[in-house]
Amino acid sequence: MIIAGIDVGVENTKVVIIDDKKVVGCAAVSTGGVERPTQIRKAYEMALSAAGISEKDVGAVIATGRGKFDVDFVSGRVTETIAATFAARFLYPDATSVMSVGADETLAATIGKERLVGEYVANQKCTAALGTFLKFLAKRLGVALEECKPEAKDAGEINEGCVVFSELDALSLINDGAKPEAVMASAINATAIRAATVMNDLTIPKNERPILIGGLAKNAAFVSALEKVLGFKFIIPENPEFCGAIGAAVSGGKVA
Amino acid sequence: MDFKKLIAERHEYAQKWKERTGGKVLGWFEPYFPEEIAYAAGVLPVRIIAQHEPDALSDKWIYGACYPVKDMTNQFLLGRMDYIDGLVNVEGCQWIFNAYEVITNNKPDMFKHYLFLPDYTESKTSKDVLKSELLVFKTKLEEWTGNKITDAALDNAIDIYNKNRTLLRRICELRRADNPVILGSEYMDMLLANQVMDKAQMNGILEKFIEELESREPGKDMIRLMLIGSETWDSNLEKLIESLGGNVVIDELDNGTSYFWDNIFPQKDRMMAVGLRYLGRPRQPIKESNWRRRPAHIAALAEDYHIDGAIIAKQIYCHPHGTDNYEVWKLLRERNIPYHYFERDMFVPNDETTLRVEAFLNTVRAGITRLAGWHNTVEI
Amino acid sequence: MVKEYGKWPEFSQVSKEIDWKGAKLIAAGVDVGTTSAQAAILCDGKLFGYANIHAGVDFEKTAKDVIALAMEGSGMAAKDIGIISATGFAKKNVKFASKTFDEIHCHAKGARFMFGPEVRTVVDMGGQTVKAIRLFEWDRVRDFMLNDKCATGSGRNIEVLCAQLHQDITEIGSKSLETEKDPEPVSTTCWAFAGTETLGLFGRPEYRSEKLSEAEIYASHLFAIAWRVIGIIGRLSPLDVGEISVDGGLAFTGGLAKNPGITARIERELGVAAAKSDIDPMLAGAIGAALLSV
Repeated sequence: MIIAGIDVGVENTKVVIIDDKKVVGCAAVSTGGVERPTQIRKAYEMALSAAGISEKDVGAVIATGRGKFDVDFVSGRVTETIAATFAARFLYPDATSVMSVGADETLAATIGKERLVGEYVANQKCTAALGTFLKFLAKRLGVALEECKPEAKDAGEINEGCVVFSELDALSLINDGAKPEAVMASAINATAIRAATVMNDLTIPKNERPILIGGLAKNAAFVSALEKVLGFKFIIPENPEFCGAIGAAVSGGKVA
Repeated sequence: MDFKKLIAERHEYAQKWKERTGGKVLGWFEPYFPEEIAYAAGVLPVRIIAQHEPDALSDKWIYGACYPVKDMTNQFLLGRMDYIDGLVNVEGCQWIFNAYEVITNNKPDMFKHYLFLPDYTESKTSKDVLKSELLVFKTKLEEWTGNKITDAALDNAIDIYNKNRTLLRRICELRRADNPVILGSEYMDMLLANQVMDKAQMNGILEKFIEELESREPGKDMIRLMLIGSETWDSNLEKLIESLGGNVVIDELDNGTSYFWDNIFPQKDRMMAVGLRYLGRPRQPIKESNWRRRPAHIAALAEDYHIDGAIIAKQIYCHPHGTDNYEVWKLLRERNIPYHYFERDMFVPNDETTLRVEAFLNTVRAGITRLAGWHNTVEI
Repeated sequence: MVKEYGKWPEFSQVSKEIDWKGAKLIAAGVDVGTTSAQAAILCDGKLFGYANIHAGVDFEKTAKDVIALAMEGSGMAAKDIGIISATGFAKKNVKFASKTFDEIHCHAKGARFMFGPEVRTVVDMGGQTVKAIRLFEWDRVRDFMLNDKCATGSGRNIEVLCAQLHQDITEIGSKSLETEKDPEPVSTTCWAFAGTETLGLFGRPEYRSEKLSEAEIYASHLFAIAWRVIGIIGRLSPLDVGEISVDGGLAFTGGLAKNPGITARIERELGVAAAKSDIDPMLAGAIGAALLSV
């Protein structure tokens, strides 16, 4: 059966078409706020044409992400944690834990033997919107976020407790003459510290490397800062931003 | 005297002290901790000082507390304070209690003690309650250290601490001069260093420092300010104020002048003598139950030190401070003392705080006749 | 070019009536903020040219650019300006300025220039900070309050929200007023929480079933910000009895002053009508800096 997974994030909507455990098409568009329903439709149609199939060939459509309720043509919806664990299990059958860092949400979950989701921790309120913060700060500083180098020299510490304070601290560093790239490195370090808080005693992996998914997993500088804070390495799948959609599709709408 | 160096080297200092004396180090957070009793047991009491760095480890334990509390926890979890053998929490700030619990649960070998000190300090029975609590603390210290706390040892400790407080007060009185020889930032550094040192040794340092101060030339004419608010862990705010033409000539901070304002009046019942001093010292807002003592104390300081304005700096998320906003604001308004209230973070000075202080000093300066003709007075 | 939903458009103008060549003193003020920068050029105390641009990361260049824009087309050059003064977040980086002034005094001075001498309370709402200033009857600042740290970035927050929602910042305010009754505000503690909450409202069943309109969502967001600003105004030392109710005694400056969704709500809650001016409220800081230098 052909299944479509749709992950409607705060920033981007990702669609994946899966045919017999193989990804046959995918597409991503900007979620576009109030234009969300149109954008979702657009992404879905792009993915269908990439897969070379038409809508009636699709057996099921499963949605996930912050905007999952805006997808009105679904056969099921799953929460982000379920999608993340399904994706990790699908891509790496031996995986025992997964962490996801996106525009708005950060979460970590262990993958159990009987129950798919063992323990899970989602970000606290103050740790929300890490991806959005980095995106808008990079824009303000005129720095390309994708081009930030791992282990780049930073400009000093900035507040790691709150995104609102961080931005003012970052601009203060610029005001004191720091280079935008260095300030961005400081911001990435602060973001990594914030993201690391979801790895607590329940979710921290004992022996093996966890899987890291979500949009920020694409950013080498962020990943290296996160690994430094946590003291272990991650396994990062190809196209980590599509993992939520993949997870939704392979879950088939089941919750465990 | 390089007090900043003493603060920076406090970890090495305590470790050397342990090697030299074979004694134990006891950490404390709140200036309501009766250091004299610990000192009499041959223990070095040191204040835990928060610093300024990202707290990677504390976040999963403590969420939503003030920054210093998270940082102190972080430093313990990082293992930087492993030389500290015990921790005491005095009834008061609940964030500090939070840090105390997290630290002692993560470091189970530590000596831990929760010392109850009544919030209603003026109650008729408070002194007896505190005395019995101090006796419990004394017994626990004796068990832990194996040293008997004799009356002679207590008298000696009280003498040393009284002398220490007297010396600090002597230096504080120098700030009443029109052009004080000591700036607020240096004074705060001295107080912080004092809180992590063996007081017998610190007294010697302070005596030398007084000699140095008495030979100093008078300072510049600056805007005289009073600093009110949460405890501090550094002198950054004072430094920032000085860079903009103001000088903190007096503070009403829990770890500032309130730390040493009153001495112990000796009596045969030593625990009662110690207890009365801690009940009677200038109130921290959480120990202020009738809102007469603290405003009166602030008013007296404002008069004695001839302040031109007051800065109320509350640590962000600090819960004891903030309960007193109404009373303190009212008091300052009634006396026509200009003031500025704000929430500070560990991350000062930053540009926003600079703007606050600069604008406040400009508003105050415009009303001070003795400073007429000041080069950049802003008259809008 | 991607549309910039979250930014107020850049603008500039030079007066045709004033002959700058005949002016005794030309004073320029530049206000370099975290988000945008403004310049005002005054000829003998009269507003001659002004400009507003988005701030870059090189604050000194931003200041130069905005001053150049404020005199563009008039034939005036930098050497014709008698005195340049700077204010704003990045004032220390405007090294070519001969004087710098704090933002509080600049906004107070600028507001009295723009809104008249009756102004007793000035509320500046910018990209990062909200400042409430109380003035004496004569020209002196009596008290001021800045937002506490958690209310930092209210302007910036609306910018980000508009960009995420693809909603034009110039329209969000008037759209929010299309509601009959304001719904409950979103989080008034923190702008990051408020933003997350507002985005979440668009995913709620009430919104999809059209029980909650787009206008109501904007209303609950802007009401939260207005509420916070009212709190800051309320902390100022009180006016004498009766003064608060004087229309024209309250003036708004800064970028958020151009958002009726915020100003109308503050006026409604305080029960006063704010003073009006023909000059763009974003310029108050720059005008104040220029006036203070002479």
